[in-house]
Amino acid sequence: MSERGHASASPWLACAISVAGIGLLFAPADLTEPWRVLVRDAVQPGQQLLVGVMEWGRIVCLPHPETASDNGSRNEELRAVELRVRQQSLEISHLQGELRIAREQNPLAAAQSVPLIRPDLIEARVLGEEIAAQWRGRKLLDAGTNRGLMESALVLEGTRQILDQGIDGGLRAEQPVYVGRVVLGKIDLVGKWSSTLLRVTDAGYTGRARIARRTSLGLHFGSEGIIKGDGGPVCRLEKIPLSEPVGEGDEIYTGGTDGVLPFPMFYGVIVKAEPLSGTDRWSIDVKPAAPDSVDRVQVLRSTVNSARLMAN
Amino acid sequence: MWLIAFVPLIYIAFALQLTLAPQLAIAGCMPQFVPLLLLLIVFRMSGIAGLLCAAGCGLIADCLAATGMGVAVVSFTWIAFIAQRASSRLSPRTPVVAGSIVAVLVAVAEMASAVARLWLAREQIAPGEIVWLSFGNGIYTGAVAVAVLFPLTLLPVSHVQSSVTHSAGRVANRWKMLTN
Repeated sequence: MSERGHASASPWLACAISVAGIGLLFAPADLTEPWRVLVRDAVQPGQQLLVGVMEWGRIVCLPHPETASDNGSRNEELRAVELRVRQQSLEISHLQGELRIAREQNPLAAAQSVPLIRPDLIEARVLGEEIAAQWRGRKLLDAGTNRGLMESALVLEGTRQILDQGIDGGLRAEQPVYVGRVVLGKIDLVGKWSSTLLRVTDAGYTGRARIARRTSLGLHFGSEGIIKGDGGPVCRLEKIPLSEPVGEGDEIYTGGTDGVLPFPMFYGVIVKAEPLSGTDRWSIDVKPAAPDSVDRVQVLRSTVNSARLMAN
Repeated sequence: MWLIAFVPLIYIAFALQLTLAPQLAIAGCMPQFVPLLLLLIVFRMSGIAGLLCAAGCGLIADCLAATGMGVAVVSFTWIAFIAQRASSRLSPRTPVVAGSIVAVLVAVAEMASAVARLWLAREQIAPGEIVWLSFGNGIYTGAVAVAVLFPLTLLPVSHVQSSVTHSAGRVANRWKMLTN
């Protein structure tokens, strides 16, 4: 392997590089951070490719524990889903036709514009209790501490559920967390690689919410209020005036008119509604629809539409 | 030119370090693919180019680490320098020798950079844990080096090399006959 006459570099060169390296220790974070981001971004595609290869290898190599009966029931489920998808695609094509006709009939139809803010959902895994305990106890980090892996102490010292995405995944505090179309909570504390989840029932959770009633004409949206968690099994919906017709079984969806998402997300169902004594408002308890245990969630990030920026 | 040829390998090594290495951890010890590749490069690459390659790898490693920008630059440069010196005295052509050099240098570099990073982050330094993890990482990486290099020794020797070896053998035998 070594070549004949293998020349060693001068120790002075090694010393010079070391001095430059030590100088980097004192470089301001403003200067080094763009380089860190650049390198991380550059390495990410390779990482993703390797993760994909590893997942593929796991699927191909590891035997599937499913039995023949499981396969049969899965096939039936698959067939049912395919049927539903076919029905929905027919419905979509029908609605697209109606929309086209409506647009043609409206001479003052506005030209479609490119939105400035674009919703962007990122999937995150919820760490199980055992892994979360190891993460908090820095047992997993110890393996990487000597490579400089250190997580935010705030995240590690918290008691809430931990998600496996952090600043590196573009997460920020207060970003909403969903399970499908159901609101699970929001991001509480964000570390470098992980973050904590504030569930809708946790004390400190607040969000805008709207009441919706199912009628024969479809979903009818009512007043908007503030949904709050207090650590109990249900949430409280506040600021709904008594003039609003409210009943048990009414549904609660996300409020706000920022238009980031094209549809409202589901909070849960009203289980108790009674007038708040001495006020003109309702006291409403909402049972969240979010399941108690989830392993994967989606976090909503709002990103600036690069198409708009490039257009200028 | 050599440096450019090694860029894809270095990229793969970093990607492997971030994805595969944690999956291969045994008792918290992980193979260190980047120093491993760096040392294998340095065994082939002479002089300044080897040190510059080490400094570049160190800079990338520092960018991926949370704290201590420059720590890996220093540690990688010095292990490359020592590896260059060692390879001129020892023969890293043998997998076991190369693996041993890799194990020792990676352990030392890991220990030095761990202490430096923890000190810079004002974190508590647990000497026993650092020694265990550094030497564990070093031995693991050395074993991976042996596992990578050993199959290469089984490859057939090229025509040119074999003819040179053959003629050298004849000369040696004649010299032996003359001297006996």
